[in-house]
Parts: sequence; structure tokens; C-alpha cells
Amino acid sequence: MAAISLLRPEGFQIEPAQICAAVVRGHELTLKHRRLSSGIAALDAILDGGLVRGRISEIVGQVGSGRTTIGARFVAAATRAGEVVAWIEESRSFAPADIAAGSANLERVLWASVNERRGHGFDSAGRFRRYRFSAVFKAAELVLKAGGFGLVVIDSGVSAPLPQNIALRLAREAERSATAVVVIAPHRICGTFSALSLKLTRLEASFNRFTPASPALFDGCVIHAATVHNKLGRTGGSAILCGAIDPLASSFAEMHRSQAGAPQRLDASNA
Amino acid sequence: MSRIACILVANFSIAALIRSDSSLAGVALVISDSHAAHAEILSVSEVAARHGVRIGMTLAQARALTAQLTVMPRSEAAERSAAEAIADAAESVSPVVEPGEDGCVWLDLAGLGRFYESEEAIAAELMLRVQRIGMDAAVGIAANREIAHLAACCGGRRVIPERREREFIDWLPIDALNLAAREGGEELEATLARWGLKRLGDLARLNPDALGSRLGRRGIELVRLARGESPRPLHPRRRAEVFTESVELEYGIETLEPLAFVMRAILDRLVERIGMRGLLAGDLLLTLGLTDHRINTRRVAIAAPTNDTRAILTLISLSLEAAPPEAPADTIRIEITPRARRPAQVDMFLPPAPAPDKLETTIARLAALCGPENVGMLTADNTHRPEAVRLDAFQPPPPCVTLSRVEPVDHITRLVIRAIRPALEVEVMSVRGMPEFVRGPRLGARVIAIAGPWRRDGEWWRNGDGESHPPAFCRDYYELELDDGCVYRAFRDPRSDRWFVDGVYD
Repeated sequence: MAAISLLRPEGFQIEPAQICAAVVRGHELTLKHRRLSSGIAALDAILDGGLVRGRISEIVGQVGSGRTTIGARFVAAATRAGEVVAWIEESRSFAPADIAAGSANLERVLWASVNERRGHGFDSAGRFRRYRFSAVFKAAELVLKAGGFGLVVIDSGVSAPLPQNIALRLAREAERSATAVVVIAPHRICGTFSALSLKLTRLEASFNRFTPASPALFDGCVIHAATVHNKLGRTGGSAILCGAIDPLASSFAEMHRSQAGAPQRLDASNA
Repeated sequence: MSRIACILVANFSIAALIRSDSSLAGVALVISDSHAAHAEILSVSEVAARHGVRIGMTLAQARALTAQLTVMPRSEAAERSAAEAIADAAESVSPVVEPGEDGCVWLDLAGLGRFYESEEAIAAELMLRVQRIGMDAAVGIAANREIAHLAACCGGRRVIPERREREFIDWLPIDALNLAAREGGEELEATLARWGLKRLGDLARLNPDALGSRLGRRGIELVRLARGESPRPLHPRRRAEVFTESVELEYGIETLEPLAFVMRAILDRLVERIGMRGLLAGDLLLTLGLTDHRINTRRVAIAAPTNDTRAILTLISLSLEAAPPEAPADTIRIEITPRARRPAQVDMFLPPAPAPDKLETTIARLAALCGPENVGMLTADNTHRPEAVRLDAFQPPPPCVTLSRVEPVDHITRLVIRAIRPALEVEVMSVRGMPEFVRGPRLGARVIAIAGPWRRDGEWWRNGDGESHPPAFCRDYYELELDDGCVYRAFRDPRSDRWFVDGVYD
């Protein structure tokens, strides 16, 4: 024990089970049984602790449902823990200022966007779409093959199911590299290859004004999160989350605290 | 006492040709200035020599000995590349290297005793490294460059121990000096033969002054050479800062696939040379000599230094696809500026990070897939324009010792915007100055709630002379909740009264 306390860096918490076993090696920090926590208690509760490493997780929902916000939250959690993250997208929608404001360390985020211009050689819109579709997952596969990434976020705009060969390759590389893979999409696209699917729905947008004459302020959105598919835990948990423009402003959080809190059971309509 | 190694590639012109085109390796190859029947053969490959073909024969005589004779002209580009490659191989072992002529390179072995068990091991390592760049070399190690060269001329690897140089030299025939290759050498060789001098030992025992009075300065040099006395030390070359390989083709290539096939072999050789020096390939300059005598030059940026030939070749292919050369190419020259590897120190207690070399290769492949302008570290630019971003090279810092975690929260997090790039111009119908309906490409909905406007302006000091200096901006920002279920960030340019949507809260 004394040796461990001498060796371990100050401020780094080692779990009691690991202290009993041995000195914790760096690569054990990304082992599959260690989940990637979002840092949001209500969300972690329905995810059984966070995202599963070495598996594909899906964050599904329409544009505006808060899926980018939740994805960015996982990026923040991973980068602040010293892990390297990749964000791969096909629409150049990554907003670095906002994501950095959410505590993410952008120095640890590898950003890649599939170049839309490169598809212009194709003669029909359908072929063009298929090309981009595979390229974004090909890029993710390259990143996973490099190893050492804690989290790979794939921001895909497609809603059609992923071809099985692509999903299988992605799942295999995620398993091999023990990386948490998050696919952001309008609908579930990975099918049986995803371990977890988190469905997000925007409940309401909150606007207020200090005085009747003053301009209105946009406070944020209230998001309903539900696990609609979970291979490694319970399915059906749901939570109410708040996406705030200014999380430090207490009024918005307090207003919706009554709706949030303990995880709830999922009702049939949300499922 | 200094120790010098000499790397010698025998039959250098042939070796250089085979290196540039590996399909010539097993054929009866001869070098001649012309394909005419009376043209003289200048060099003969080992296979051709086995058929009895000799230097000085005419092509007609050689073809009488073997029907399957391949005749090639001497390629200066291939020889230049091969000579540089040998010097690079030598430089990967010792920093003091002097390139000679016809595939000969000398290197100083001072200080290498700490890295290798013996001089035989150094010689074996040098032979191995030259083999890696596509040639077979002989290596001689001795006290000075002349004796080392003579030792290399004997073939294989030969180490002449200290103070035993005379024993080695004494029994060497005078032919080993290759006097015939020098000006007036044949006459000198005949003179020495007439005097009955057959071995270097015979020459070494002569009085240099007496020989000088008969043969002039050449005579004195010969005696010094035969005695193993070196007239000068090594003149080291400057370390190469760029690596170049060239190929001259017999005919012009006009399609991308065969061109990529040829370039792949060039890149393999370049990457091998760069790798031997412990470096990685950086930006490259591709020069294509076209059949209409024009030159097509292009610079290909490598986002992350890599030695992955496939990734580099993909980047070159993308560049050629985007702007193809105007005519078929018959000369290819690739010049690579190497970059140093990034040092990495892993920590046992911290999360693992991608290995630097693997990360660099991956970034290069991503750059080939997505384009170099779409891969890297995307950060917000230092401006008040919300859409301004800056793309830097992705070089993640090592994990810090004290890990800081995101403060755990109950249920609230920061709302993130999903950017729309470029901003979407929309038509906004307003009532009493407030937006009521938004219509645009892929967008058309009634406004439910509005926040704003908030004016943002800045960069008034810019003169607006182009892309690098955009004009000053002034925008009124709104957050619009539409009845399609999204909250958009929109702005109005008060000068032009045009509306744009540049993001959606997601």
C-alpha cells in the first residue's frame, strides 16, 4: 500500500478493488468494465454508470433533440480525464467554441470531416450519398485501428440502417481497441451491433425576460433521455436533462429540477 | 588511428538501373548508347556476363551469344538517386560520409565501437542497409580510404586490421588500382608490366623519387597508394535535408493508375531511405517531365509526417486527380522534406494515448480520405465572429499527472450548437420588426418564440480586401424557436438586410 501511495499521482483516485489487486496500469483505465461517465448523475444512472468501452453506443434523436449536447458532454468527460477523443462527422457542424465552453479540452480532440466536395464526381444524388455514408465510417475505422483513443464520436446524418459489413467492422475495431464508440444519428442505424441506444427528445425550449419590456433570453432546452436498447444493463430507464446556455445560471436549473432528479421508468409512448 | 569504411556497389550503372526498375533484375541487361547493331556495350549485367557478353563487344556480337538481350541507355537520374541512397545508408550509420564516384562511399567509423561489437558487425550492417535500398554492396574497412577502397574491390566484406595493411596490399595485383579507367592509364599499365611489376607489393618497394623522375607525379602517387599512405582525409558531405528520387521512363504515361504504380516504387525507396535515418516523410514536391517538354510541378502537403507509402500515394493521386498534367509524363521526380519523429513518454498511471507514429499515419490516411483541410484540431479563432474556426495540426499533449475531471452535476449541462457552414441564407417575414416566418432551403416554419436581437460587430479595422481580410461585420443575432421543433441561431445583416441561419441548438 505504501508503494502504491508513493507511485500514484496526487489527485488520482484508484478504486479499492484495484488497490487490492495490484498497482493500476495506465491501459487498465480504459478496460471494458470501466464505463465512460458523462458526469451528469441522472444520465449516468440510466446508463448504469456511463458508456460501455469497446462497444458501439447510439445517441438517437432528431436535430434539436440535444444529441450533440450529450455527445459533447461525453467528449468533455473523456478529455478532462486525459483521454484522446476523435469526432468524425460529415456535415462540418462541429462548433468548437461551444464544445470547449462545455469543459472539453479541444487539444485532445481529433476532428475529421468527410469532404463533401469529393463526392461531386458521382452522377446521381443516391450514389453521392452512399459514398459519404461509407466514408465517415471508414474514417472511424481508421481511427479505431490506430488505438489509444478513449472515445470516438461519429456524427452521422444518415437514418438508413448501416450495412452489416460496415457495422460489423466498426464493432470489431471498437472491441479490439476498447474504445467507446458513439454514433449520433436521427434513428438507430447500427442494429444489433450497438450495445446501447439512448433516445433523446426535446420537451421544451425555455425563453424568459427580466422585465416585460426587455428582450427575451433563450435559457436552454429540456431534454428527455431514454435507454431504448441496452444489451449490458436494464432497458427502459429515462431521465429529464437540462441543456442550458449558461449552466451556472441557477434559475433555469431550479425551474426544471422538479421534473428531473431520480431516473424514471420508460413509458410505452417513449419506447 | 582512424578507421574508414568503403561501400562499393560493383557495376554501378547496371545496379542503379535494376534498382529503379526491379523487373530488370533477372534479365541479360547491357548498357549501350544506341540500339544499333554496331553500338558498343558499356556495361554488362551478371546474367548477361554468364552468357559470355563482355564490355566492348558490339550489340550484334552480344545478340549472337544470347537472343534475350535487353539493351538500355545509361540513366543519369537512376544513378544519381542510387548514389544518394548509398550515401543515406552510410549516413544512417556514421555522420561523417564522403560520397565518391560510381557507387563508392566512404565513412568514418570513429566512435562506432560503442554501438557495434566489432568492425565485422559494422561491415555486415552496412551491407544490410545497402541491400534495403535495393542494391548489393561490398564493404571494406581499413586505416584509410584508399586501402578501404581496395578491400571493397575484393568483394564481400573485408576488414583489414590495424598495422596489417601492407600484408593485404602486397599480394594485390596492380590491376586492382584500375589504372585503365584513368587518363593515360593504359600506357602506364603497359609500362609497369614491361618493368615486371605485377603486384602492389612490388610497387611499394620502389623508391618514390626514382619512380617520380621516370613517371612524373603519377609515379609518386602510385607508390603512396601501393604503400597504403593516404594523401588526404575524408571530406564529409552535408547531411541531406531533402530526399530525392527520379525515374526516366522510356515512354510517356498518360493515365493515373500506371503513374501511381511507378510512383509507388519511387515512394517505397524514398520511405526506406528516410526511415533508415529515423525520420518521417513530410511535404513533398512532385515534378513531372511531360512529353511536350513542359514541367509540371506540384507540392503535396502531408498533414502528419508518415512513412506509410499508401497514404502518401493516395495524397499524390488526389492531387493529380484534382489537377491532371496537360500531357503524358515521361520523367518523375519526387522530393521529400523529412521531419523528425515526435518523442513520446508514456505514463503507467495515465490513460493510454495513440502511439505517435500510428497517430501520424492515421492522420495522413484521414487526410487522404477527407482532404488535409478537413482533419486536425478544430478550435475557435480569436475573433468575435461565431463561425470563425482555425484548423491546427493535431498534436495531443501528454496526459497530465493530476487528472482533472468534469465537475459532476445533477441534471444540467451546457447546450451546444450544431453549426451550419456556410450560413444558410433565409427569407424572414417580419411583423413590426419581429420575425414571424422563416423560409429557406430545407427550412420553412413559423416562429414560436424569439430571443434577441443582440448586436455583434467588429473587425472594423480590416479593409476587406479579400478572403484573408474579410470586411468588418455587423450582425443582429436572434434565437428563433420554430414550429419544426428546433431552436435556430439566426442573424440579420443590417447593412444588406439579409438573413442567415448559422446554427441549430442540438
